[in-house]
Amino acid sequence: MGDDRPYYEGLLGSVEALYGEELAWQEAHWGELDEFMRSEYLGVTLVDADRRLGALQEAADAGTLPEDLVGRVRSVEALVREAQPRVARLRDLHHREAA
Amino acid sequence: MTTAQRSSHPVDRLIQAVVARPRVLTDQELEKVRRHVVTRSLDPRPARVTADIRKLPGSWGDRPFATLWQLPLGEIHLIQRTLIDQQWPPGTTLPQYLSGLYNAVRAAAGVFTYTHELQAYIGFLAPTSVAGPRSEPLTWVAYSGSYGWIRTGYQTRTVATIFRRGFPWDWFRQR
Repeated sequence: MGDDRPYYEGLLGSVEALYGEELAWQEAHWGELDEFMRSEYLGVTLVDADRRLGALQEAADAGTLPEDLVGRVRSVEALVREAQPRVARLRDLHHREAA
Repeated sequence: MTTAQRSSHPVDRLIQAVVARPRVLTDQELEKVRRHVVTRSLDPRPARVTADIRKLPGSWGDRPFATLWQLPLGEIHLIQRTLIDQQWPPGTTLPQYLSGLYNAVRAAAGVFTYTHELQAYIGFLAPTSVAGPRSEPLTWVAYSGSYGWIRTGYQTRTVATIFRRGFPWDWFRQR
């Protein structure tokens, strides 16, 4: 369990950054990005973030996550949930402009 | 918005056509696709380094992560897989990472076609052959026939965990 902590902290930090700072950057620079780079964020980066959140949730449910990180997982879940309308807006823009 | 170059390679057009009108690829067609995909890489253009990488402790080569702003996409993915996901061993090089993905493409018994973020994809699912600290039993490689680049390659436990937030509406099992 001791060796697992840096790994889980890394996953948490990644999801926080990709749905936090990274999303804000993408929103601010969306007009400068080409279709490929937009799809990199929507279709690759966020898929990675969701996989990492899934791994954290499974570890929390299985009781293998250090107890003091469970609360942070719940905060990250809320961050991801609250970010969905912003992600949907970017996806909508992406789809409309590519059409 | 600028437009990235779409692929008109015959094999990529085959992938685009099979995604647009789903049908099972013949063995010969699939072999042609596999042979093509293992000649492709991730897009080599420099891309913005994602915020999670810049928060990592340590450095990439001689450059601290905090100071990295642009890297080729392949290197960004390599950092994600080795240091964050820890699915590939630390110290894996980009050619080694790609070689592992190519092995998965060649060996894949699970092959899927689908649309993802407006692109025509073919995905390959094979037993993992490269063991990292957090390896999963299967390796997933997603290739965009729209652009002619491998878009991602990671390890996963089952087909069900390839996508966590819903599967593409036209997800089609080829093999």
